[in-house]
Parts: sequence; C-alpha cells; structure tokens
Amino acid sequence: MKPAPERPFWDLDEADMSTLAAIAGERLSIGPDDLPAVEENLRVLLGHARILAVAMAGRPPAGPPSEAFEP
Amino acid sequence: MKGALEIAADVKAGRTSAEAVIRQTLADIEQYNPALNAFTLVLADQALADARRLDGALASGAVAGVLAGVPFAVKNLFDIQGVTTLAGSIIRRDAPPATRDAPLIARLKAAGAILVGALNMDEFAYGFVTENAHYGPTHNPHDLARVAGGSSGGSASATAAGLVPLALGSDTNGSIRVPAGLCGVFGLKATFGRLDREGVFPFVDSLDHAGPFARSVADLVAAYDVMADPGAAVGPNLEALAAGPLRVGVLGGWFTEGAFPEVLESLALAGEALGGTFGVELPGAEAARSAAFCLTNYEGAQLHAADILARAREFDPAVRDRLRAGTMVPNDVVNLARAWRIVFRNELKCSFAGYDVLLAPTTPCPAPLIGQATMMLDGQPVSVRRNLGAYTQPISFVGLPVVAAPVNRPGILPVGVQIIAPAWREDLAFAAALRLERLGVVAAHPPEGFT
Repeated sequence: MKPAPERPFWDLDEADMSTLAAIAGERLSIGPDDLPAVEENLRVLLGHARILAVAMAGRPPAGPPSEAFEP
Repeated sequence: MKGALEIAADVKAGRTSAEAVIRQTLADIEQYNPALNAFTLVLADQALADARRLDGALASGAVAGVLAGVPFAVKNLFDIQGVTTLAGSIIRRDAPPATRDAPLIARLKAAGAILVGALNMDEFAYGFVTENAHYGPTHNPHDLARVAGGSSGGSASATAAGLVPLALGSDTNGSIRVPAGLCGVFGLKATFGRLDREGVFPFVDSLDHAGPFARSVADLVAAYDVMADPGAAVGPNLEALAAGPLRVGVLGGWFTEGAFPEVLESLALAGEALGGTFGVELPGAEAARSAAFCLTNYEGAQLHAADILARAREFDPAVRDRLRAGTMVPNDVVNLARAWRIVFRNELKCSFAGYDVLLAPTTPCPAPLIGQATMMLDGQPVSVRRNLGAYTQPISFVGLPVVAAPVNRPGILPVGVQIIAPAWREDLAFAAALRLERLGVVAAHPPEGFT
C-alpha cells in the first residue's frame, strides 16, 4: 500500500483520495466493496478543505486552536 | 388542530381535561402515524397517567403551568426516563434505559406539558432527510412522497400534521431548521449554549443545539421561555419589540445561489414585508459551510470511532461511509475549521452593526422526493443529502439564534426563511417572526388529510 501523502490535506490530488481510502480500509477493516463510498466521501471532504484553505490564505494565525467557542 | 397555548387555556379554564386532550392525541397518532412514520415510540399509558395526575392536581386547586395539558413529543435522541435513547440507531437498542428525563423535557413537564412519545430521525442526527435505514423514512404531511427533512424529521412531520402542537429536536447543521422549512412549521435554534443539552445524545459537541418546533410564534416562544433560564425569557418584552423599529438585512450571495424560484420569491415576500435591505453580503459564508462540514465529519467520526471499527455493519450505510471518511480528516483541517469559526463569527458581528436581524432562505428547494439522490442547483446535479443544509450550516457554525419560519404560500410545497439574530438575542428573531406572522407573511398551513 502507498504511504499517506505528506502534503497538507487541502493540497492533495483527487487521486490521493484512493490512497487515503485504502489506508482507512486497512485501519478499519473495510471490505473492497465499501471502499469506493469512502473514497467518494473523502473527495467531498477534500473539496471543502480546499475552500477553507483558500479562505484562510494570507490571514494571520488565529492563535492556538481551541475546542471552546463563544458565539 | 389547536395550538399549545389554546390547549393550555382550555385545560386551565376547565373547558376540557388533560385526559381528554391526551386521549384525542393518542387517537390521532394511531390514525395518522402509519402514513407519516413520525413516531418511533408512543408512551400511551404514561401520558394518560400524567394527564390524570394533572387533572387531579388542578381539581385540588394547584396552579396550572403555562403548558398545562399540552401534548409534546421528542426526537428519539432525548433521554426519556425508563426508555433506551436510540438516537436513530440500532447500535443503541441494547443500551440501558435513561435514568431520568433530559432537563428540557423535565422543564416542559414542570410547566404542565405531557410527553406522548419519541420521534424518528436520521441515524445519530447525521443527515437532512430522515430516510432512516432501520426505522424507515418519515413522510412529509404536505406530500407523502416527499421527505420531511432532517435530521429532526419526525419532530417536524408530527408537528405539521397536527399530531402534537409542540416537539423537540436538535440542530447541529440545520436539523431543526431544514425540516421546519420543508414541513411548513416554525422551529427555533437558539444561541449555542442557550438551551441545556444534557440528556441529548451528542453528535458534534462543538455544534450541537436543542430546540422546539411549533405551529405558531406564540407557541414557539412559550416553549422557549419554559426551557430557557429565567433571565433569558423573551415573552414579556416581545410585543413592544415586535411593534418597534427593526433593521432587517436580506442576505444575498451564497444564500441565494442555486435557490429555486419559489425560495427566492418567498425570501422576497418576507424581506419586503419587513422593509429589509436586499443583497446583503456575508463574506466567508461558503468557507463557513465547508468548515462546518469538515468539523462535523471529524467530530462525528471521533465520537463513533469504536463502533465504526467493531460494529460497522450495524450503521445506516449513508452514515457509516461518511464516518469512515471522517476518521481520515487530519488535525490541520480541524484547526483550520476552528480558526475560520473565529474569523467568520467576527465578520458576522460586523454585519449586525447595521441590522437587528438577517433573513436567508432555509433550504435551496422545497422537499425532495423520498429516495431522490440528486437535485439540480444552478443547472448542476448535486447530492440532496449534502446540500439541503447549504444555507443553514454557516449560521449554526457560529452559534447564532435563528427562527425558521414557514412562508405563507398556500398551494405550493412549504419553504421557509431563517430569521437570524445576534448571539443571545433570540428576542429579536422572535419579534421579526411575530411581525411577519401578524402581517400574514409566515404561517404554518395545515396539510390536507390530517387532524
């Protein structure tokens, strides 16, 4: 199996998603019939991560990320 | 199909008894629920016992609560004492029964309301359609071939059909607002942290909210006032606020892209009625939606990690595949999403410097058909399940209070508007909703063929 790509997630290619799906398959014992659905969902996540990365590009760091949130 | 406050007034005045109300409610559920599949559990004996107890207390001179004798039901992720909390799953079927009611249920009961059952939902609240693989789809009472929306689909369907005047649901990315819009009822997603989530099975801890559904603004306010801490009650000041000036912005940009014509027409009706400023931009909304999507996938996968590994076959496939992918979301994406939450929250605060409330559509379209996989937005086929919450996700991402209100357009499938207020200002959202209701612009139309 290919190793996980080392670039940031949002810089990965669509093709890298099949590598990640295969890694998920091994970790979670996912059968081959289910892997395409996992890969499809990873592609959707990639699209969202790219949108997010573009929005944040050039902004100063927001400080240490925190789970706490005040509306 | 009486509202909650009308029922309570009748019970208080002795025009009817709580037992009579509950008997009629149980009869309605028995008659109409088979077509809707809104209820997954009916607590008939318990509800009748509670009703008799209330009638006895009132006969003895006890002070009647605001919701005396009002039947209500809850999404089946709320803890009900003595009942296993399913959260739409079969994985939790063998979990021990809850040892006490969720505090929001307890508060409604303390006000005299009577719990009659639990309601269908997307498994673990991960969805916008309530097409549950284990418990079946919940049907929209305005067109039984269509989805009720989700994930609180049972709550919206039961309320819209008149089986109960009040229901509780939860909203992580739009799970109160989307089904409220598609079923044509009112729903409230209060400010993040405002209403107690204890005893509500979690989905995404950093995004989860609980809230009510009703068929009128007054009923929605009554339920909120009972469930919120006393200092947060809005009832006493609402009339003055609704009669006073309200600065209203109508969101454009992301919040109108791809919307069906009837959705845009409904938004225009509401915006014009409130004298709103149209085309208000909310920069970063698309990224907020994407951040909510990533955070949801990540936190959901974290929560269910053990079961995804050991009991994957027992999940609804649509939920399982997303959770499996969520296990691969790296920390840098999560950190980016949390950072964007702060950026977007601050941008929204700036927007509210010029407006008291902002309006946006609730969904891009009316209710899709049950089983419909894709819909056309801006001429492109897109996934129904992933896109019904496109307009709700950016708002819940930053925890703002929203009243989802059904636009009064008889003869077409329901669509709604979100009335969005600054954090902790539920009163402003209620005031705008009340004004629209009095103008006849928003209303919960009874669907044909039900109570």
